[in-house]
Amino acid sequence: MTSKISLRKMIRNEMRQNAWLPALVSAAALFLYPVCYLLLLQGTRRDAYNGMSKSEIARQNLHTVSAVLGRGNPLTIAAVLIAAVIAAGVMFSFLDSREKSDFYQSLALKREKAFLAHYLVGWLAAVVPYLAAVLISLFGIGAVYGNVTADAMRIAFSSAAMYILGFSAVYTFCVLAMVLAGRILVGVLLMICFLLYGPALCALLYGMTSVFFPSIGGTMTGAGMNIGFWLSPFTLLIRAAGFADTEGTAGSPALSLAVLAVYLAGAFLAAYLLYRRRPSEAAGNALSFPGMENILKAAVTVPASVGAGMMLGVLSGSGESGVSVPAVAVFTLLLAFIFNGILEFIIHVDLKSIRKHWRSLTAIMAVCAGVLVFFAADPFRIDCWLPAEDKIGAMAVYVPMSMDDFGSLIQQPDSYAREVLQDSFTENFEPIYREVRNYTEGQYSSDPENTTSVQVAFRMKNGRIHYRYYEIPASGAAAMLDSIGEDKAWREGYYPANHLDPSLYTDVSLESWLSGDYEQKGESLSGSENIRMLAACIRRDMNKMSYQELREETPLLLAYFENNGNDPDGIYTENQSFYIYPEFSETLQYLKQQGVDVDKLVKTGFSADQVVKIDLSVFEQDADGTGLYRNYTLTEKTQIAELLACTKPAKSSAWLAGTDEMPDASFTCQDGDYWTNLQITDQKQYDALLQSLKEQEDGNYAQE
Amino acid sequence: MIEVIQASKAFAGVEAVRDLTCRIRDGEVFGMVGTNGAGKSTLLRMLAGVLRPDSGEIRIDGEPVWENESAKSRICFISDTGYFPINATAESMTELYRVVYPGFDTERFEKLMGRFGLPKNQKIRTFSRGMKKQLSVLLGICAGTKYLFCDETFDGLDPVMRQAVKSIFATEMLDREFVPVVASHNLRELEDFCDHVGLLHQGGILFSENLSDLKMNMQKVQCVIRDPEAEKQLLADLDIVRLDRRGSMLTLVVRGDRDVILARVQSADPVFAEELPLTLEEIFITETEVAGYDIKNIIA
Repeated sequence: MTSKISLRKMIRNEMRQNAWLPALVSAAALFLYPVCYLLLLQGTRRDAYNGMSKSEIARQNLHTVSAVLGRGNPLTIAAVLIAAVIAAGVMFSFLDSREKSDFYQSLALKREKAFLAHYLVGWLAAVVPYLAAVLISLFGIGAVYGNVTADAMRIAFSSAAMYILGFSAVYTFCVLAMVLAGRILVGVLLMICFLLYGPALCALLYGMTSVFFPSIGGTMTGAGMNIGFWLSPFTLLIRAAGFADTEGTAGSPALSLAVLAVYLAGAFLAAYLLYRRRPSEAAGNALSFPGMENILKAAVTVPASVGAGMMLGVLSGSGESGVSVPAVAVFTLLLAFIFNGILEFIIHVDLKSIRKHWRSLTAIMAVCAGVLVFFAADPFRIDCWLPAEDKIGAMAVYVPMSMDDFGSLIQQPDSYAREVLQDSFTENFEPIYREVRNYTEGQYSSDPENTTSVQVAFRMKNGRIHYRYYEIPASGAAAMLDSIGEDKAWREGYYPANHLDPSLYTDVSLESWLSGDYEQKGESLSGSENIRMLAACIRRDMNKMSYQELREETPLLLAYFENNGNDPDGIYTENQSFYIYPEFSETLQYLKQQGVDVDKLVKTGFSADQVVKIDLSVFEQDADGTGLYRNYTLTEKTQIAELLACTKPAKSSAWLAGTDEMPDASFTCQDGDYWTNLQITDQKQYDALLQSLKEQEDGNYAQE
Repeated sequence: MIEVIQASKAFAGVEAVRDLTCRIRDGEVFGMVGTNGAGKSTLLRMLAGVLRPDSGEIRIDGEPVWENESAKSRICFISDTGYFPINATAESMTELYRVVYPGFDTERFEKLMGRFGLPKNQKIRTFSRGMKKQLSVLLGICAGTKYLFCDETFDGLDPVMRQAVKSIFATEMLDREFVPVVASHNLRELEDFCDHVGLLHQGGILFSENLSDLKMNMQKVQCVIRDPEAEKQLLADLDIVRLDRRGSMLTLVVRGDRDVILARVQSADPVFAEELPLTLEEIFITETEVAGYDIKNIIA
């Protein structure tokens, strides 16, 4: 009589033998969910006695559900990772022991069933306690505090589904790692590899591209890192939970979950098939399949060596791109030898195997060298790509520094540049093309003139759009913008006033363009209609002026658009500011109509008798090229007068037109505090003043 | 019946089993002997369906064993070190075996545990090596499978235990279909158990014979023949496998029937003639020397 083993009984038996695993998960889940939930709800109830309204309590309780049982709980993310690693390690640890392996594989149980039994036990050991804890929290503790609402259930169950899917994917990858390894330590290392390799490789490629192909790297901004999140189930779970920088996609985890499901299916199939084919004699060997060794060594050693070599090269060198290529090469090859040696030791537990496998080491070092040559020498001229002019339909350019001609320095999100580029394509792109050609032909590589970054978009005649990033001389950028800025259509796409959404703002502050402290708030406008009208006036007035006019003109006022608590999507809105120039007739008239005392706000310069103190910040470079900011405080009237005589207030974009030195200064005046960049009008006088300030300061130090 | 047909298995280029063919019949206790690295464990693990042969076939009762639940349900494999979960006791092992061997005889196991004096609820990790081996054997016997593969399980058992296990095997073989296959590197230990012995060396099978047939057809005689002519004639008449001479004392290993050989020796009018017991080791050495192998260096 033959008797086969029941899968159900096998699962029950394995669960009994590893009962400590679900017990451990239960203990952790109990603390993470019911206990934390109880403590937070208790806190809210205490606050209720202090006069919180019922709706506030309900909102707070819902927030508690979100914080503990919702998708934004960082402890759950950590718990998923830990549980997945432990469950996979425990349930498949038998693969590293010959005795255990022989026992299980001699049983009348097909490998598929054995795999399923161990897989399911690990999965159930984590998921069941988690679900139980969520249910206890929601329906047990929640009921006591009257917090079992439809919203609470929706949040809890949708998040639980997300985390179970995420855990399943991460756990399956960990199982796959254990199947591919014959020793627990190697299995755990493979787990780390699977979960972090994709994002780490992406970050490395992103870094290498940024350093060696800046024309591409500069356009990637955070995109490279974002792509990396998609390359591992764990980082994808982090993304789905809302912790990643998901610009433009915040609150939309559906795609992440779909990809997680694909990862789960793929990893499960791979683990299942590989387990079936796994040789039993692999127990105790580092890797289950001998053919993996070279692939693993290359896959790990090459990026690790190149990445670490780059980091060391950055720390040690100061080449043209901030990286010493010879240093990177030396470090990379040395690290390839070391990392390969470490892997050899982990796999073979014998240092002599390094000598034995010299061929694979040589191949790995050759690949490292090849990677470095590809990036550093750019044999395929990737960084110098430039299409033929007749193939281009239109071009657009974005010069971040130019935004300072429109308003005080405000950080724009990374997506802003892309938005401006897409709106400001011009067919009169000759000035842009000329600058790009000069860059790609290397005309700017040895010129130490001040440079500024520009992003360029090429819209080809076939409809494709390519983005590039360049560092070109500031004067060239200014000339280019002056030229294309004559075109009103271009201005309507480029000027930031055309990209402002007034509905996002609640208030506008108006003050002198020299005002250093926005808290002073000269005057303000509020009300959505006022804000909308003001924005429209500024837009029309701004579009009338050419870029050169804007650049050369001195503003009168600064209009500061603020968002004070109006976040319709829960997304933070960047504040915006715009200079109001003398030519903004429509805007100035509107302001006067709204009762704003424009004349009182206007301050275009300083007089020595009104200035009490100037704090001057000057960038100085030592003989060895090291630069640092040095601060001077001027309180004597003669010094103040001297400084005012040889400088004038300037927008920071003046640097774009080729101004070399631009100290910045904080003015303490009788009528308030101000801040501005200073443009030097008399270099000789300025240098003499600076010298006397230095001597004065050095003398003060000596006395002390 | 177990059939091994030209099975080979290599690990990292080293051939552990090389083109091996043999048959293990029902109703006999098969002993596998060989030195370390001969391929005994590898062969047993292939028979148990743990290792897949690189080439050749292994069949259990006519069915290939690899990934065959039906064939493997007839096997219980006890490896040399044995597997016990970390906090297992004999009782918990009973529960485990009941799941993985649905035919496990709990009652018989408890009786045998009592007979061997092994504690039921003490943690197995506190057992001595010998006790663990005893427990492994008892679990294997009570698993109720037709075939029991023991990999060096009896090595290190004391003679009393070995005798006890031998009698249990005999009982099992009488009561049901039971075919133990025992691997050892010690020929003397197998002599007590086995009906059929195979000698493995460097991955191949040198020798596989039924022990009774072997012993019946070979005799060892010590004698002194006064007359040199008569001695010469005697040596010519007998089918001598091995001859040792110390002065006039002859020690002969002779192939043939016992009574016939003794009668012939007596007919040579010996000063002295005596039949000596022939050990399995001597039979093996003799036979394999005939085959051309210097087996003395192989067997412990």
